[in-house]
Amino acid sequence: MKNEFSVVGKSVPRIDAYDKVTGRARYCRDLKLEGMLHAKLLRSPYPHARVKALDVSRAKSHPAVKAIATIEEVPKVVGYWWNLRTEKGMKKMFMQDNVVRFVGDPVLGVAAEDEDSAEEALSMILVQYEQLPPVFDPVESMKDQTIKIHERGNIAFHVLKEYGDIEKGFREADFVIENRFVTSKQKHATIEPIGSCIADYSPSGKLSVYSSTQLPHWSRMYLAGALGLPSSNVRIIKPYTGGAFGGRCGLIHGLELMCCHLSKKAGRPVKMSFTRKEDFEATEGRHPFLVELRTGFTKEGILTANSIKIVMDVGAYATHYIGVIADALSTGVGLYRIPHVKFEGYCVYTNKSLNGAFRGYGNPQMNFAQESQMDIVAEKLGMDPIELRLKNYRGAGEIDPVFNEKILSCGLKECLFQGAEKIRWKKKSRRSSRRGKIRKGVGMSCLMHGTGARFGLPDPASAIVLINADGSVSLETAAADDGQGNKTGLVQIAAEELGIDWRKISVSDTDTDTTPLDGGTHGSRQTYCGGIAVRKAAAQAKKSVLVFASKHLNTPQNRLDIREGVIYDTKRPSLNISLADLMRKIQIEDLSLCEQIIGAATGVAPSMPPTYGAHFAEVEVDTETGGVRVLRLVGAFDVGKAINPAHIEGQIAGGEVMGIGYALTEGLVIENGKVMNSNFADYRIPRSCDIPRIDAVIVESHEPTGPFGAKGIGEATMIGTASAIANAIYDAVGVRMKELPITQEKILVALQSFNPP
Amino acid sequence: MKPFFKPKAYFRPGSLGKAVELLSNFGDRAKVLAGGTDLLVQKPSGAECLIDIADLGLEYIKEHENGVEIGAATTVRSIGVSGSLSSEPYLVLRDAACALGTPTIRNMATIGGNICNASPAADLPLALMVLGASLTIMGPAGKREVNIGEFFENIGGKNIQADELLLSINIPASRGRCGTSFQKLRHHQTSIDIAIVNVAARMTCEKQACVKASIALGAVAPTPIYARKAEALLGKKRPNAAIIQEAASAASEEVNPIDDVRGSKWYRKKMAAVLVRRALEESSRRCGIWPE
Repeated sequence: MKNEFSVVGKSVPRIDAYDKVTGRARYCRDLKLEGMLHAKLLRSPYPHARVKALDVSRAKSHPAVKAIATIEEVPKVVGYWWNLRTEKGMKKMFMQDNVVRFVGDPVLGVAAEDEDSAEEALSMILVQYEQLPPVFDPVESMKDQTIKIHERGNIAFHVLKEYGDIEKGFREADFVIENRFVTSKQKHATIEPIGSCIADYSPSGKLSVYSSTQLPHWSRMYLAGALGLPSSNVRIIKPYTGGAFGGRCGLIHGLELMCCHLSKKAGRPVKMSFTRKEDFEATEGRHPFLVELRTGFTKEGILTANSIKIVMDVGAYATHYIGVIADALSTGVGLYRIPHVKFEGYCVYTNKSLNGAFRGYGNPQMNFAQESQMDIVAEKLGMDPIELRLKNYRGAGEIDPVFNEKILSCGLKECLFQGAEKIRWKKKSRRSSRRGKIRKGVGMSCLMHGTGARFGLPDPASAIVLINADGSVSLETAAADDGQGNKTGLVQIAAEELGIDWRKISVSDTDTDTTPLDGGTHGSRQTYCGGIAVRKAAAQAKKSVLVFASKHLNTPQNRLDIREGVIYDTKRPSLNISLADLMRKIQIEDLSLCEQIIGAATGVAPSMPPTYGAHFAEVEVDTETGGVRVLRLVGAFDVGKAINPAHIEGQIAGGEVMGIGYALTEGLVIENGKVMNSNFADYRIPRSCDIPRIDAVIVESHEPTGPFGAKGIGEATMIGTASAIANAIYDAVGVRMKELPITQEKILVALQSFNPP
Repeated sequence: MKPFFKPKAYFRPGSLGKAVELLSNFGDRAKVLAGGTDLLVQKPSGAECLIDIADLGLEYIKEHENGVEIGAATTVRSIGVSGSLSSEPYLVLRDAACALGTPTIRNMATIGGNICNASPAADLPLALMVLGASLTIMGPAGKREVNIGEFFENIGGKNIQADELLLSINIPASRGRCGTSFQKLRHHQTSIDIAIVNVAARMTCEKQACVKASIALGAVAPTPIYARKAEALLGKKRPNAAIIQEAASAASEEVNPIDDVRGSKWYRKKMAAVLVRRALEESSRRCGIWPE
């Protein structure tokens, strides 16, 4: 089967490589429009306050200032595309008041002829605040009845789900262990800082917004809803994007809507670009979790019960929160075949910058707790951690209890075997001799992550395939590429289906005026969901081609196929015509036809197939300083089918690196609401010199619902890295690190109480 | 913070006289630009003009019979790869240079800048302190010499006036057999971070005994400091594990670090002891008197 493909499964070069390597690619920050103004935000210095009075008179008289829009005029987005489903939901999506809820919450925006003037004008504004008591700790916030961050209380969402009978599960257990895990607020740290857009609100009522959003079509609907415009009047244009990882999964707090209001007032295009500091301090991050696990298991290593309790720090405003806790539920309940599970989650407001979508979406937090717990279980039983997973994981043919769907493809076992082989697990694990000042250890973890959002959210994908008169193909899709290369993958899928050279296909820019409805680039969904739509549209176009070809070649349609751009009779290959010749004939030459071939597809993917994977880490710990060096990582992932293996390897390397940061160094430090490490010197992501050898193992289980068998990969690659590293640290020095990031200081503290001097 | 640093004027004088004249004219409003790796990141708001010292001939490493002289504009990379500094007692300086920043930073950053920026966590000053280096500074009234140990005052403060320019660093030749060491513990467990504790050490030996020890620590006080009590514990003895441990513990009592986002006071004190111990072990190894 594998060998039958002409371009699927091949590492063709990226279609955007030339533009990016030569610097021709233009990102939102590079764009300039005629007459464009520059905007800056005045941000709250307080974590919780009411804006009592605003005096903007001096700023207004600044000659370069053209518009000012305040917190009282510009609504805040507090929801996501779930809200778009109903009118009631839409109403709840936007809030407007005069309260600031975190340090950095926007109070107003100024648009001026240049950035310096805008900044100067900000200093001329007088704000009278009434300070309100803040609350920073989510557990405190849950209990506190006196401080209300939002009208309806501080608990944004509560979920309680039970599968089986948890008490029965604990009765059946030989052992019960309880542990508590804490995770950090990681930032996306995209190479292009988050927060850049240009809004051009024409007096005619047409609004064009250039934004590096992951959700062009949902953003269009958000803006149309907030501004009372028909969707057709709002156009989102997405230029090249320097990484997103969930950080652009919606409207950015204080950005697009502010620019739209300022542009409407000024009658000119308005651009705003956040600085890196603003990105760190006032855009969404990964939700910190507090996870309490109580797990029961038999002496044979069979899990019988799991009680999961999560308190999730939402920050000041809730955008992505229900989905994030749902993903924690999905992995917490779905990965292992545990008959009795209780899951309880609280999403809680605090007076800190907001949290939202981030690669893994609730899963890395849950995975860190769950996979550390699995390691503890294995240790207790004296069982190999891989064996424990093999005994308990839920495989193909079984029903996922959360989605109530049958699992059609699962290559977890192969991931475990091949990954273990690569890192030489048998030789290295459970070393008995932990001696010396520098000690080595290995650890592993497992994961699953659903592809797309089919069972939780509206999840459309669409594509239009236009075959041109010269046989080349234009593919129109809103499947935004944030830098991961999914557009190239979609080209390969279209080329494979059409039987033409992939170089003959060009993909449209991401522009809502010219591309059909798409659910956005999130949830590792574009190769799967986008790919299904592209393949369908291509198949439809191909069918139309063959109808014409059948007439032209005077042979039955079912005997025709296309290969390398030539339509031929499969029984008599000498009977053929090139696609270019046929297209010219029917589109231009034959005056009675003049018809372009158009294939179109739209709809939702049939499933939400989980990607499976296993991470392996080898580390070295300095027992005198607590310092950890990651010596080697192996990531083995079941992707169904690798459309472009080089892209998958790239995702694995990138995800593992992001996972090293999550494990060891990354996490915003917030003291009294103020971010203390809003720069790359103090918020440390791994540098190239910190990155060890990373082996990528690709397992292909063939997902029957996927395009050519493919499912997602992007998020899975970072989900279990921190768990594997934490388990490797335990293997090396015998201390169980339950709080991220695992800094050298925390390890030293743990070592000293474990092994007092 | 403005995205770009936009001083009003930029000068690149061709002579020391001209440079000092410019410094006298502008005083506080001028900043000396060497590699720019600190200055262009700090973007000091009061700096109206930059005086670039690239054309003053201050980029050199000269060996002479009394030691080594290094021009203030010599890059950190040049120091790291210099043949003149590839034997004791200069290994501590070479190692400190190789531990500073990243290769790209080292290509730009200068020894003079690393001294004059006066960061309490700077790497090269510690090495210069244990080497007993002196600084040649030029001002309107001519040249003066100052010992590096007397250069740093409070946090970020230094013994140099706005109208003065650091010309060179002079390291005296060693009398007797020497072993040195530079140790650095970085903020995060990544290869290129700023130090949360750094240590330079030097031992001068006669036969099997240490006759003089010098230990300097960074990032644990408002300025780089000498650990005088620890030094005294090592004098005139053959170092062994117990003596070295005692000195390391003493050093950690001499420091006064802060609690901040990079590390706690508790951790820094602990690490001061570990790093001093490692520095003394390596120094005595390089002296040929370790292990016992």
